[in-house]
Amino acid sequence: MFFRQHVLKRISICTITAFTFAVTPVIPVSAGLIDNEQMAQQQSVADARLTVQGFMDRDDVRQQFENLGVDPGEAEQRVAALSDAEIQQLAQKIDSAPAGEGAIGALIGAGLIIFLVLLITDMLGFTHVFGFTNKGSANPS
Amino acid sequence: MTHRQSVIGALAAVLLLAGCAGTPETARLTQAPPPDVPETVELKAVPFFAQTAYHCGPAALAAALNFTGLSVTPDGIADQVYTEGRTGTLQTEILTASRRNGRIAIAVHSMQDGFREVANGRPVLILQNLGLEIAPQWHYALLIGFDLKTETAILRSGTTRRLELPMKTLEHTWRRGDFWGVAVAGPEGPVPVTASFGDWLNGAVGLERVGNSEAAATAYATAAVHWSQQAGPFIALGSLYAAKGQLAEAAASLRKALSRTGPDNRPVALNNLAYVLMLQERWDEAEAFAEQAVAAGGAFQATARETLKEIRNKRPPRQNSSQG
Repeated sequence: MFFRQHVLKRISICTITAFTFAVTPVIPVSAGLIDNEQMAQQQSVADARLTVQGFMDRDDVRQQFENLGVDPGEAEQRVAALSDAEIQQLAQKIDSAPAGEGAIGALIGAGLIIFLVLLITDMLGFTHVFGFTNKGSANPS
Repeated sequence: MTHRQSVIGALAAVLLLAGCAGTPETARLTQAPPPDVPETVELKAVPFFAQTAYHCGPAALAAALNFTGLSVTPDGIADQVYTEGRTGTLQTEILTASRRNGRIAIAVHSMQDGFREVANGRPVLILQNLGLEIAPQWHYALLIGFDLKTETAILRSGTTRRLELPMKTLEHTWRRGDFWGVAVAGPEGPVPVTASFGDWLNGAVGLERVGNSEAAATAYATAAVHWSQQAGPFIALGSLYAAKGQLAEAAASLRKALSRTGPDNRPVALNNLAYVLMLQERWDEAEAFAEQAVAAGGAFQATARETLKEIRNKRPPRQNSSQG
């Protein structure tokens, strides 16, 4: 029973992930009204890009990029080139991370920022820390 | 290479430290709560349905739906959210069932957002793992209150009408459910406090998808008030009118959209207005707006090009009409 429920949770996560990618818009090429489904998808992507941009504009985040030897300007350009699905994945990670304030929060906040920065640099191919990101390393070897 | 390894080492150390601290969300909420989160809140008016067997999903959702003014029982919605072979409810089914009942489910991504929703008067349906990662025991409950001073959360849960749970326990069990949660709202609002315009728009489109265009129209009207500077609600209303053949209303709504559109949605409003004007055979205006839509670029530029082409193909030649 426990095992079965565990498997079901995995399935449900897979279902949601699959759904996320399924709604990525195929840009229509016939004349007509752009329907609300397409507009909503576009709005979600715009929201996500704002979230990621806001995160990357933070001073502490720019500092972390520099600590990793990554030029923030170059990182921003690469973020701009991410696909809609990738940018939404990133924004979700940033959204679900706490804002990071307070005495205990400061330490954990720092850890989360490093985590998120590494996640971004992984996706951009500057680093290769996490197995689950699907981008290769920028340095061949 | 060594640089990368040291970075990974530092990361691991920090994450380990974070792990030892255990309940950072609780610490953050009690030490530095967001400005709209008071010390104590309890939404006593949230109804309660005691769950039977594996029906925690239907029980929690029925209570959330009732809170939005809908009279449903867990048994009444069980077929929509419960699947016998699975002995439980999947998260997606909570979302689709909300839609089928004409409601908008807004995803809550963190404990802080969940507490903000409760503080602003809306219960949050949460997914907890009451067991461990290796032996999970999934459970849906409604977060209805808290006391930051005593670090207590208050829930409608299982067969307990008012369950007091230490916030730290809530954090552990909810974290193992990836902090999955939803705030369920009626299309007339109020809009959940943590909802972005995109979240609400997606929920309203979900209502259209299940064929409830009346509730969708209400949701867009609510959005037009809540995000009064956004063009999106007026574009959405325009599309609904156009689908019903009410072209004059559609054009009026799209013109409103253009008077307040931001850079994201402007091309959509231009293209759609051009198309509606074409259907009204107002060729000059239609062509002018289509040209603007093409010039505006963006993700829908290909559609705008096709719209412009179609308008030019369909409009009657000027010389002929004057001679004939």
